[in-house]
Amino acid sequence: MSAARRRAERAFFVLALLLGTLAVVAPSGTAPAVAAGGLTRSVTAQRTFIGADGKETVASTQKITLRVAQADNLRGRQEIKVSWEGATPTGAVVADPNSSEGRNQEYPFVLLQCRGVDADKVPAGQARLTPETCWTQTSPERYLAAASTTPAWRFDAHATAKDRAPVVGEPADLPEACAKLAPPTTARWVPFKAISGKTYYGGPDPETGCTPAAPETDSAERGGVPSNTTYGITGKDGKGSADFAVWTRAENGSLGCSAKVRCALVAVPVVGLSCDAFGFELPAGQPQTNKAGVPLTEAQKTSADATCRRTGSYEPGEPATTRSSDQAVRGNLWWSASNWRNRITVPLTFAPTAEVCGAETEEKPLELMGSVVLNELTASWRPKFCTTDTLFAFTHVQQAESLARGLLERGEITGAFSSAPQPGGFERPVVQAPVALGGFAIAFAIDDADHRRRENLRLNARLVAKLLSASYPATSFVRSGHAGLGENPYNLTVDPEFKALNPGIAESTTLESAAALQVFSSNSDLVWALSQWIDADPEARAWLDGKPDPWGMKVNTAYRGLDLPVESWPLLDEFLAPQWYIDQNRCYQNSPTPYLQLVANPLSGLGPVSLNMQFASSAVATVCRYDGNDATTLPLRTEGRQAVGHRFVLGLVSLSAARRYNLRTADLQTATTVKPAATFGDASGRTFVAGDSTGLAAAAPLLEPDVEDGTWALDYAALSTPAGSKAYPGALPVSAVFPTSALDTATATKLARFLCYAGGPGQRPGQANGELPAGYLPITTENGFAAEETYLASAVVAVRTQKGVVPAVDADPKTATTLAKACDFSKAAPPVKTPPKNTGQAAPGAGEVPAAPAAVVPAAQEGPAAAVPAAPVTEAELALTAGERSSLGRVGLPTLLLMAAACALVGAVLRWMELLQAGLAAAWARRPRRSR
Amino acid sequence: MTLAPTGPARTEVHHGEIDASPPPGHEDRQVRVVGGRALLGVSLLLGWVLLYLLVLSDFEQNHAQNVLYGELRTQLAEGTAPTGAPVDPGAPVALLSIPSLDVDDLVVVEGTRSRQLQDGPGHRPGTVLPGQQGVSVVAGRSVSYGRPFARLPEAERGARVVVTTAQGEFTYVVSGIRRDGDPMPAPPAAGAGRLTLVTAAGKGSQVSRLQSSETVYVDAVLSSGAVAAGPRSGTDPRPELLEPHVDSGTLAELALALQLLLLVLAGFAWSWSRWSRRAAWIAGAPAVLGALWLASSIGARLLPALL
Repeated sequence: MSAARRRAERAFFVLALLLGTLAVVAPSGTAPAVAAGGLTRSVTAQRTFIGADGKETVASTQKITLRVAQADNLRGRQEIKVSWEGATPTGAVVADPNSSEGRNQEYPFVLLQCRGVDADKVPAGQARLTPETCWTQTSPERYLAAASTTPAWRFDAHATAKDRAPVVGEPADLPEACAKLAPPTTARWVPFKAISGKTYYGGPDPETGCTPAAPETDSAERGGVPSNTTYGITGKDGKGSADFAVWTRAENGSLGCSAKVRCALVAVPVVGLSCDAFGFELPAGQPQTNKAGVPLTEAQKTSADATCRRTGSYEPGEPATTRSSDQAVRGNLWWSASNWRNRITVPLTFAPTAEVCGAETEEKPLELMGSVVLNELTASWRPKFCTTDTLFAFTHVQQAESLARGLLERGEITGAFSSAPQPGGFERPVVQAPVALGGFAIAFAIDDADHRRRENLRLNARLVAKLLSASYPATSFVRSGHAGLGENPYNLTVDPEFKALNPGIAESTTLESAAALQVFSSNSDLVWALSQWIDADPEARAWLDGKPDPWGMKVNTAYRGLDLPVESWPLLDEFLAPQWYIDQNRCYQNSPTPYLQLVANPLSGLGPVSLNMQFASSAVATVCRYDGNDATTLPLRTEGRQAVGHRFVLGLVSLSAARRYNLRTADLQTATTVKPAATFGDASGRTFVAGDSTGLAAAAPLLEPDVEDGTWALDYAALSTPAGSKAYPGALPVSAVFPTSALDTATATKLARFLCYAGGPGQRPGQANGELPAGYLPITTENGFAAEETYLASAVVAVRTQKGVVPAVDADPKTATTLAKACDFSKAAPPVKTPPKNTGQAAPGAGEVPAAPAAVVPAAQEGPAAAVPAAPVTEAELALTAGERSSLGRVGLPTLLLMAAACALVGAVLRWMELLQAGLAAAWARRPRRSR
Repeated sequence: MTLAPTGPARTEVHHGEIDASPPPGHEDRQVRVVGGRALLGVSLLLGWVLLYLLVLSDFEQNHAQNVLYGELRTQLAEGTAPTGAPVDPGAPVALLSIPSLDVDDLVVVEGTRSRQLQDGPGHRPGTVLPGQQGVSVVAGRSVSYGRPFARLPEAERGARVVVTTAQGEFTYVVSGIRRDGDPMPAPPAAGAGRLTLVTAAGKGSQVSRLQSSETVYVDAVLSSGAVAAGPRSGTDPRPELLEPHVDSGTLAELALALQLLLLVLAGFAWSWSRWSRRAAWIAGAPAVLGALWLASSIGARLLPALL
């Protein structure tokens, strides 16, 4: 009896525990996930020395704290802010912590991106995180060799005996090509294991083909991404920070991180080797030997101990010189057990990309074409759309908006994203519903005179016009030879106007990348908006029309009086370099091109510009590199990446791209009270607005409905008024242009659902897929977009019904339908009012919302039913029932039933197996024998 | 003759190590027995869920209907039954009968969330009330809670749907059944009304009735006699009928109910070991059942409204 009771007690206890957990877990289910994703981790790192007497002494102890701004929903090339404190100050400091040279710093704070999960037990299908799954761009960061038998890394107290051998990690069969390299006395290989399973040894000289490195290494020349391995510099206060760019498999296929392949940011604070030169940590009877197998002598051990105990030959913060740093505390020992054991691993999760869409949809995705301003938005929405049952798959073909509008007009595509109005209006009935407020930004990567990265920059429209109009001569022979540019400053850095607005930037007359703005050559409404701003700015317009600036700088005559706005910036300067230059530059000789066009060198699209801005690459294409090819076909090359500390590039990007890639963007001038002809020495009297949400929100009231074109456009003239001066001039609304006639019902419903999403969940800011990424302002009533919301509702109805209706942009919100009603797909679309009908019809009584969910006759018109013609209401007949489906409903109950039965059966068998066996045996035994 | 030793054998001291390891195979058995118990427990829990959804919830709706019927009858008699917005969610608005489907005097409540459909068919906010000019939508469950609309897909054209509200009795005539993708009927002519009854159903035979996977709409037309539409409330911001609505309020209630259940179970376990078994059963079983029922009722609100 007591046994039964105990059993029952136990059962109740388990049940109670189960329900208790449920009670705890259930309410936390809806707790908002930590949106910002910022997290803090800390570690206590200790360096110890074991002396000749076997005694352990603690050399240093640090409590290091790491902060990572975002670790979830990451996207390719996104930069995350990483900061730390409590680390040892770095010595032998290099300019660029991302360069391979950073490895020779003393006490750097190493940041790496590694594939795998940092745990003893890893989930199936994931790799275990080790130094060998961590990415480094160059081979010397993971291969060490020495001519000495006793390099410091061999005496790591925390390393295993195997790892303290003279040569560790060498490939079993070295290829032939390695034979010609002299074998080192000691070497340590830390090969890289690619996701494909291939091991890249890198080794002494990967270029010779001895043991190759991964294909993504050293890809600056081939247009790939540069290194993200950061040898972070810790200041004298123990603090430091870095922007860490994360790679997905799109940027780095060998590393192969994605939504499915787990990866992590690993921070290895280099604290120096913990030393055990006398081998107390080694197993007894296995002394360390040299390559020939001879045990180390006492003298060698003593010398090794001294080398290993070094604490740095540089003062904290001292820049690197030709003097070599101490090996024991160098960054290239990030993989050593002494440093690696102190690592802080921050798992990174990547947002699923649109790659998930390919496999999951059978029907052809809807093709929408146009605006590059929406790139980040559609990158977030597409995976959400194709993985949601009630939505659908679509693709965003990034194309010139003008082309998209033209194709839409001709009926060749079903939807376009566009900002500028169609010249002369659309002939086909369309809606142009604003789905996002993004904008352009002037991104920059500029270093101050003291070689620090500049965080803010002020530009006015005239400076941008100067950069775009080839009015900076850039180089001396252009300045002396080009008529009309002789008096102009060489580039931005020596322009008194730029210096007045942005003090503290080093002057240079040879910096060609400061003579032009990186733009793209393809047509785009982004350039259209930029040129609108320039055109509307009185100073800039007057300057373009030939009026010199207060210091006498004149516009290049080729651009004088240029008609704005334009969709792509024209290259009009035709000045060829003088003969002596042609003779000297073989590449230029092969294809002489107007020199200032080479300085401007517009890129193919927005993507390359943002890449150049992120990694400070100059697009100036005047470099001739004799790289061993046929000299008669040598092409001109771009200047490429600039050295950290001497960066100066500017480019036109979209606001959302700037936010995604962590680009610094310039504050743009809206209004000025300074007299036009007066020179000035500072920015006083001028208003500059940053491209943040405050600036965008201030631009919202400046969006004017254009009744003729049916769009909203920023009123650029109002920027110079006191009311509009807080608005960001780059604000640019993007509309979805969808036809309202001649589409089949399925397509029309999809387009309408897109608009409904854009008006609802799509405007919720966030990092997750389906949300509104940074760099856009939500189009909501709170942000002052009441009219746009009203229009959107009418647009949904117009698209759903496909009756050729063009909703009015200035409709009265009181009489219009609401978005919730228009987007109720379980019913027919409420009737939409076309602008003329709206004025002609009698207003429905009592201000009530008329006629939803289907035309209901207003109470005022009550009368004999037959007398009222049913003409307007039969229109909705085409609409289809939009039912709901539930997979839960389909599988729910039967599955529950089956599960219950299965559990009962299996449970009973397991529980009473002995009884069952006994019973069966008894039955078998009792079976009547019918032998013979 | 030697004397044979008599009496009990003397205890012999065993020198050397004693094998204290459990007999082989025992551990294995332990795991199996515990696993079997756990599976039995899970099956009991699932069985309870099935029992609750298919049987016990019917009682719950019956009770709610009784209370609501009394309330609505009083309101009809006094003339205070609602004729337009605002109506509190869950308040009775109309009586519904479909003689051909044996639906008899069901009380329709306001709102189509899972919570309200536990009490009876629900009138969708934002549509006119039954009997008024325009389209009125009423949704009802198909599987649990008395499954008032389970037989709705069997409705035939011409069947009568009788609705009683404060404005009188209205007889609609069924005009058709729609599923996803079927064309919508034309909006009702001026002065006419339409009642759309919504439920969920599986495709195919009777057996698939438990698999309510998609919405089914039954349209009924009131060609004459509809009264003028009263004021309408705003639409439900989350109108999905076949998607689970998880809101923090329900979750909080569920958490409280589960905690209560936990307490009751703990009390039961305690009394089981201290009191006589019979006393423990008498005192504990109803309490456990009640707490379990409460938790199930609240938990069921997290399921899609039409199930």
